[in-house]
Amino acid sequence: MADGSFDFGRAQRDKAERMAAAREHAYSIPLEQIDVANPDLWTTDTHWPYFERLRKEDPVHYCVSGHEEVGPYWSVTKFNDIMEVDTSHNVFSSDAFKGGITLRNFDEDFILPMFIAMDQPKHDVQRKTVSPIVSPASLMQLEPIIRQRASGLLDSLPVGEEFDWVDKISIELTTQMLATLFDFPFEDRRKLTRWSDVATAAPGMGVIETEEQRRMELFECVDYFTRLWNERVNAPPKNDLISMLAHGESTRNMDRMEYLGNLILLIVGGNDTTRNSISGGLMFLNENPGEYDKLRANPNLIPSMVSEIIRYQTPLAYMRRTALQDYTLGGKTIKEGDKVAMWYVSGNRDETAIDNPDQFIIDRERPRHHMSFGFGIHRCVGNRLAEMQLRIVWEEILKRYPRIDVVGEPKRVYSSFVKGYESLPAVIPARAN
Amino acid sequence: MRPGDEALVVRSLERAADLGGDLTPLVYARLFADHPAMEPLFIRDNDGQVRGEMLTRAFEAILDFVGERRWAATLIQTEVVNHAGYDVPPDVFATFFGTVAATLREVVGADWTSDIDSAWSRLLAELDWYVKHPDQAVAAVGSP
Repeated sequence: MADGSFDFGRAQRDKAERMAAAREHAYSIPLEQIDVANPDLWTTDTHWPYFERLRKEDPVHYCVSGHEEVGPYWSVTKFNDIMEVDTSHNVFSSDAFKGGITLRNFDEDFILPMFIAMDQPKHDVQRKTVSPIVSPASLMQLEPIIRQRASGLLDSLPVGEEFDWVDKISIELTTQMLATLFDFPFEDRRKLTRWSDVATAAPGMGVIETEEQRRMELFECVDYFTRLWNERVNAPPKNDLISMLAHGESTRNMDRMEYLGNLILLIVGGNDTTRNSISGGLMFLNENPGEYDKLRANPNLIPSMVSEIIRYQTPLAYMRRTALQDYTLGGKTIKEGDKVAMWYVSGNRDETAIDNPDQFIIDRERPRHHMSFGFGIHRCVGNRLAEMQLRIVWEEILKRYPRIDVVGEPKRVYSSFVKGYESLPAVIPARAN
Repeated sequence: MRPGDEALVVRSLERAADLGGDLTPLVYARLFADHPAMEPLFIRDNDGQVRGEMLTRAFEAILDFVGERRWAATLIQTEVVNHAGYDVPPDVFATFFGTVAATLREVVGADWTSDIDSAWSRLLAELDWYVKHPDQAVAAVGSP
């Protein structure tokens, strides 16, 4: 626009051009050169046509030469194939000592066991230790707290001037929630945000400079939490995650690395995923003004919109498994020891499983039909809490602001695992009195 | 299961869809009548989306199980484990498929033939085997 302000239509056209160039490239290179784990594709949001081609031409795909931190790996890209792998934990391991849940090659001297990166039977008992925090009864107790905080944050937003939606709302709200779940000192809550970012960031891309820095900061994290553990273990059991871990039969004897691993799981699981869905929701509504109109006309659509946001965002793009034996999938033989990435982000766009999957539709017939929470024994334990947070945020937004405009391009996280946003500029338009 | 069972099960599902429309309220009314302890687990499902999706997934699992059987057996095993985490005992989990079958029988009425009934009996017996054997290591050795 001539006055230099953000032109959303222009941004959409630029995005379409970028996508067209990516599509041309995706369909012009040999299949074996497709490397969907390359983070460059995720910061530019241009991974879509590569997955589209894989689903059509090579749905169980072997990337021989993934970039150096990953190496060769399989990509499973279709809904039912992902279901098959995700539910077959006897064949496809999550064990941290075999490689865990992300594609990056792991350092054998810095392995973080956590229950999402464990196999049975240890996984089941550790997961059950913390699952009461997201029981229906617990969610009922948390709902008024979340609503009060969301209301306070939304009331504090500036009207008529630009602010960062990610920082002011998405991060702050999920971090406050996480502090409550841990009964973590509230004034230090942004440490949780920092540790979440440190745990998943690639060195040299803005969050941390080196792997050594990551370790140092994560050791600070476990030292901090060890102080909390020592307070809670000597007190009667309470309904917070640290107390649950400290008193749980299967978790009370964890060593330092296993404690750190489970902390990182709970911090990242409770922080990044909801944060990025809150951010994504605002962006999708701005990109799809017809859906935003639908929402304003009928706020009863919020629950189904929340599921659609979670599908459309897919805040964790994949989970990795390691084959424990040779296995045939889609006519391909996955060898024992191979890395396998289940790309939920692609399964959520599989046109053979979901109608019009590339469209953001807030009143879908089956809004909960998606794979963002995974399937099988590792299905997201906090899924109901995440949905509740998103629902409350949008209920409270609509009470206050009929429109919140995205006024600039989002900055996306440099990661093919956490599909998220570093920043998203927004403005609440001033209303005439 | 026997050859032909897939067609019989599919026919019964199609007939129920023709006659009964959305089966969700009927299935859950029966489930809660038989197992009142299950109702509070859905207390936050105000708009019925969770119940609807769970039933649709059960139908999809049944269709996969009587057909290609790519993921239904393992999904059932993992759901037994997950539901145990919500304190839903395996026998109640197993009951859900029986509740679905009983609801279908009621909706389909006179079109529920003895062939269909036998196919469903065999299907429920095999599903029950996976419910009772959620350990995939064991199941791999002794599956029916």
